[in-house]
Amino acid sequence: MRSRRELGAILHYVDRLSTLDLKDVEPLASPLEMAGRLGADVEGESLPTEALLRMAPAAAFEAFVKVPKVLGSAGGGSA
Amino acid sequence: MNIGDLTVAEIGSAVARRELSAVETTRHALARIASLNQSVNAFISVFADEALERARTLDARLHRGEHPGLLAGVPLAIKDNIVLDRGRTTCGSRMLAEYSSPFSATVAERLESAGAVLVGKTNLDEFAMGSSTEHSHFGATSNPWDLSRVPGGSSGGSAAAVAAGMVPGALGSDTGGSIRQPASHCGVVGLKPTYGRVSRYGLVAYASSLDQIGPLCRTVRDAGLLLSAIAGFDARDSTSAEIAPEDFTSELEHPVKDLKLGVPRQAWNSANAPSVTAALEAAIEAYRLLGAQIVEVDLPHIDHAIAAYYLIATAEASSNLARFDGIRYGRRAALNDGEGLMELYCRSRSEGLGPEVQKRIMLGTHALSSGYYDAYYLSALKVRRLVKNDHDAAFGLGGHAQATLPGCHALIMPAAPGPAFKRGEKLGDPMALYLEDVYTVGVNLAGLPAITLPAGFAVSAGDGGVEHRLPIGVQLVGPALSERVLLRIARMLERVSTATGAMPEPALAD
Repeated sequence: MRSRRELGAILHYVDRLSTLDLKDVEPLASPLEMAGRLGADVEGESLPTEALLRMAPAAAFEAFVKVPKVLGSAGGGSA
Repeated sequence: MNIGDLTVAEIGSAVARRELSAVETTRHALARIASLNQSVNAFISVFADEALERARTLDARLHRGEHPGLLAGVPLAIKDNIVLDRGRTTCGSRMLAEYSSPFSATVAERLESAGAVLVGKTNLDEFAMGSSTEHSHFGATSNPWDLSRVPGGSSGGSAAAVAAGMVPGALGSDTGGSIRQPASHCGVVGLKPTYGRVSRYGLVAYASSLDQIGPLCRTVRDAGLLLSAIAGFDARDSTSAEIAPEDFTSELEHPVKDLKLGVPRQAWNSANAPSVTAALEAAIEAYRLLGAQIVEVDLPHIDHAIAAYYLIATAEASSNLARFDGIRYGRRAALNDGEGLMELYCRSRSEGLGPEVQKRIMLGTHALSSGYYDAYYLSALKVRRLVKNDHDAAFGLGGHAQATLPGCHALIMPAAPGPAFKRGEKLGDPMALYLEDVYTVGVNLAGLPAITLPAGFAVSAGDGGVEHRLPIGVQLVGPALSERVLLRIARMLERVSTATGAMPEPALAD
């Protein structure tokens, strides 16, 4: 099927990385080379619940996002 | 004066001098959009009423003698992967076709604080994954220079909107070339800032270590103006660099003395279209005539940069797009009796995400999976280091300086291997579209600033024997945080280039 062929072609292309000698090279995950700045533990405003629930596909009791059964369900839930 | 010919800078000063009103400029933009969007499909949504309301408020403030900001009355558009607290933010995806954001991106807030009027959201390849704006749930965008061709991508809507004179400026995002390549294909200026220069807060993330927001517009000065408005530290983005605000246009008209321009050997790729080679040669010659020293440099890992990019970007995307699961927002699939959570996840994502997005998520997941992590993702990160080192060496930085070559101020190379291609032309071969990015991905891997500006034209025989001029851009790359110098270098070429300021054929100009 087409996706398999396309993914196969891309994986074949990226295989060229294996031709390089990368033994002593340090990986670079981000151009900033920093671990990420921590935020100060200061109280601030969160988005209002009402705005968040408006986005939800299904909501309940004006406080919860409604989802299918998570525990003890036959068809899913075991991630 | 014809408002359609005015740049961001010119509109800003005309409005400040009360020669034009914000309502006039906004009405003009909305009228252009209304008459052209059917054929170009640059915009996914347009906020006509809100924009005019805002323009009226701005005019009232101006009337009272206030100064609402440097961009007061300038109509602008933003790419639809940047959230606004009104209308929809779709990312060009069925998954978010009905999504409304409860907050605005930092860049949108900053533009509005500067007085700009945001008129609408522009089309893009879905979740910014693409180089042609053919992969949008809302249809393909057409290149205003030849409607049978692509505008490039993923910021094709923004590029086309500017090229068609709908708005004088727009924001796009660039992860692997998505501002610079469409700018080249549409004959406009496109700037990708240094990674960390512009806040990503409110940009729906594709690849967090590569994404940057930047302007598309008609002049180098406009790029500097728009960058000045949106750049600067933002505490809400943990990758935002702690740098003080800058005016990127302050010395724009001063050429760089003793300019040293590096041309990578790899810029002369045999796959380049003749028009691309010609435009690059003409640009280099122009710099030479302006007194620049042209040196050859080597970026030996450019050949591997695309492979590294498509492993790193897809890996990050697989993580970033995991949030689109049908639970808290976005499209949730209907379930049949007896079905549960797993079906909900799979069906929501299968229905909501397009084939290219699914492909990249699968690739990225595979690159990160145990057994493949070292060979794919880790190797790609190492190649990323080598790509960065190559650029540092060319700039004479970081202790990697090639001893015989003192550093270049900037590198010059194409923005794309050819002019805008026909819609559908590159969809058959999986790697064909990816190879469009050969000159742009290295810059994102290294986190450097780069700008594309118009440099020449190709001529294509269109349907019915009608010839079309197709724009070709040239790209300048600078060391990290060198935007001010980079813009001055770009301005030097813009001043002498015959490609500057060209607009598409009369069919799209009025």
